[in-house]
Amino acid sequence: MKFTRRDLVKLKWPLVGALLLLVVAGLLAWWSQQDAQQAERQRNAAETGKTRIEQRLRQARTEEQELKERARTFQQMQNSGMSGDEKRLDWTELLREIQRNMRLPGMNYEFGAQTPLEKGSDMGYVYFVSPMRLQLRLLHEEDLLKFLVRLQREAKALVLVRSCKLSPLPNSGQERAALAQLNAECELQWVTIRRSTGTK
Amino acid sequence: MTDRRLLYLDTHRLSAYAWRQGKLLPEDIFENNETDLGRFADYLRSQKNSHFSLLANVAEEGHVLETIPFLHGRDRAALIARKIGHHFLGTPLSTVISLGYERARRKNEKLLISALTNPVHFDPWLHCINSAEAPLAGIYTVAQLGGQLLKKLGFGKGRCLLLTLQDHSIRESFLVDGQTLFSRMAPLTDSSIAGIASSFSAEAGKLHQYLVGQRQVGRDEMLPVFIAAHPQALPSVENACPDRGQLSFAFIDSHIAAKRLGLHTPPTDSRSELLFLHLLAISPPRQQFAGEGHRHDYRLAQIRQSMIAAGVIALLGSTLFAAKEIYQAQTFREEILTLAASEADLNGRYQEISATFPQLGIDNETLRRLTTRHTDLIRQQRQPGPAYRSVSRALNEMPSVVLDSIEWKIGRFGKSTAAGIEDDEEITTVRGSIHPEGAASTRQTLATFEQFVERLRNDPSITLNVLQQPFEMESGRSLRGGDGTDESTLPRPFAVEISRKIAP
Repeated sequence: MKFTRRDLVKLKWPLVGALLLLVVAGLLAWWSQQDAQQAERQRNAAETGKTRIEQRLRQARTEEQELKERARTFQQMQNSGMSGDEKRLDWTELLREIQRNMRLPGMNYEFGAQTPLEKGSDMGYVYFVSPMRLQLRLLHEEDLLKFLVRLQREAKALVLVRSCKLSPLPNSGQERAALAQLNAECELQWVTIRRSTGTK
Repeated sequence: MTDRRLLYLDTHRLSAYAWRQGKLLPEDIFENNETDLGRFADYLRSQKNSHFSLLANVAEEGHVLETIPFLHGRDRAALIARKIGHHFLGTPLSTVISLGYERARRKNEKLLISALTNPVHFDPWLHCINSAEAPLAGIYTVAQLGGQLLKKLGFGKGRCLLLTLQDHSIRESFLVDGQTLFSRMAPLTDSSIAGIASSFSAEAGKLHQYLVGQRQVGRDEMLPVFIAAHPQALPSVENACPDRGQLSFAFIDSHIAAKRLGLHTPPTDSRSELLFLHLLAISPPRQQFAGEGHRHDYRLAQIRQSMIAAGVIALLGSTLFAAKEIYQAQTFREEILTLAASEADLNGRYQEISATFPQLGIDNETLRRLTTRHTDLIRQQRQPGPAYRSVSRALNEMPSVVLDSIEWKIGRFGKSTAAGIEDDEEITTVRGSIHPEGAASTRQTLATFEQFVERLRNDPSITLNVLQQPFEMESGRSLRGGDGTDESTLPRPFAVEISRKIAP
């Protein structure tokens, strides 16, 4: 059979029709496949979600005990006064009171600027730290240890001792200083916790 | 949808039929004159969606048995064309049927060459068909369909004769195993039932004599003769055709035959063309007489149909696939609903349980992180007391060692930054001096220092590093001495560093 141009004209519309049918068939198959794949993805996501909540439910009993202990710790943190804004007035009063009670011959201190302990925390709460330089005149080295113990116990912050240098005083100076035998220089950090401003 | 239309051409006219589900509906009759040929062309043009088949019943039909060498392809086609030219003067309306190969010798092929030897009779009709661009499936003859008729009715094994009446002639065919090897047409002079019956009887005898003369059948060979006739004419035909000589007559009731073939419009008289037209519609023979030139539009129609069929099949396949995918998607969505309901139920149960947890105004995850961090910080909350006491014990046992200063710190590298408050090492630096009792030699002073260091090292958890010896005895440093001053009585300074790992 030989084709002529006239034959091709005769076959034009059937060819267009067949191509249209093929395109429609292809689109239909593609759409249905995409739809099924999307549904499968959604099903898998739903299954994952269900598995996750099942695991949480299984862990809930053990979590209950753990969370109670953590809640107790959190309440202790709140009761100790380390949460919220810094209470520097209370801190200075505490320092004076301990000095007075222990009858320490001399005390100088200097608080530095408060900075966040960690950057970019997403906990909702932020730990802050204030450095402190402390200088004490002591009659005995035990006074230093007792002073630090009381400070950690009674301060409305978590007090971390970073360094302490103890050395004997030279035999000179004022009368009050002459009573002192030792000089202590310590660096401390006063840690507090505060709800971050972005958290409601 | 394509309709089937059948054209019946006899020696005088052409009749057109529409075939629909076993019914043959006569549509028109055209004589071979200019007016009717014009009408025929109009008729063809009006049937745009029809495929046509032409059934011819003409006297000018030839059949020749030939044997050709074992050939294939173009050689075989060329040889056959030459044979057709030789026997039928090159008529374009011819066909060839292979009857198999000889088993002996060189596997020569046996052929039956058939031809319509008067193409001029067909020309005006074929010209109309071509000019109307009507798809012509093929040209067939009544003789071709004789074997099909007997086969469908359950006869036709071996050699036999078939006699049928069409328009005003009797078609008489000689068949071997359902294949017509010879056929001829005899005119009918008396169209009455008695006349038809006597013509059947006479023509059967004449054909038998001819075949015997041609040595197509043996002289003593019994030959069945099948005659098709209308039921009303059958008694007369049976009376006129008693078995005689080597001829054994069998009669075909045309109404019963129509019923068996599925023709719902049985013949109204003894003429059999409706049976043959119906046979042509339901099972056309593989061979036909028209050349490819006459079938060009039929081929185009086939291509058109194939293209549309391919598109429809693709669409159907795609629809089936889509149905499967949609069903799958629906199943997934039902599963999603079930899972979501199950998740909501589990979540509710979890909320019920978590409601019994302490309510602090923060979520559990934040509480976990907050308290874990607090525990880490508490671990860093250390005192210098243990380190001081350890040094004090050593000093108490060594009265000649005097302490100048003791420095305790967390971490080796100076001040801790805000971000890096964790350190895992506690460093205690002890600076003091050895006060020799009386005049002690350098060796004695060093021995006292070593003794002090050994006491400090009693604690296995520490690492001790001597920063400054009482005397610098190392080869890399300068060493001074003399007799001007009694150096043995002077205090000798030293420094040691005690490092202790902080347990996590």
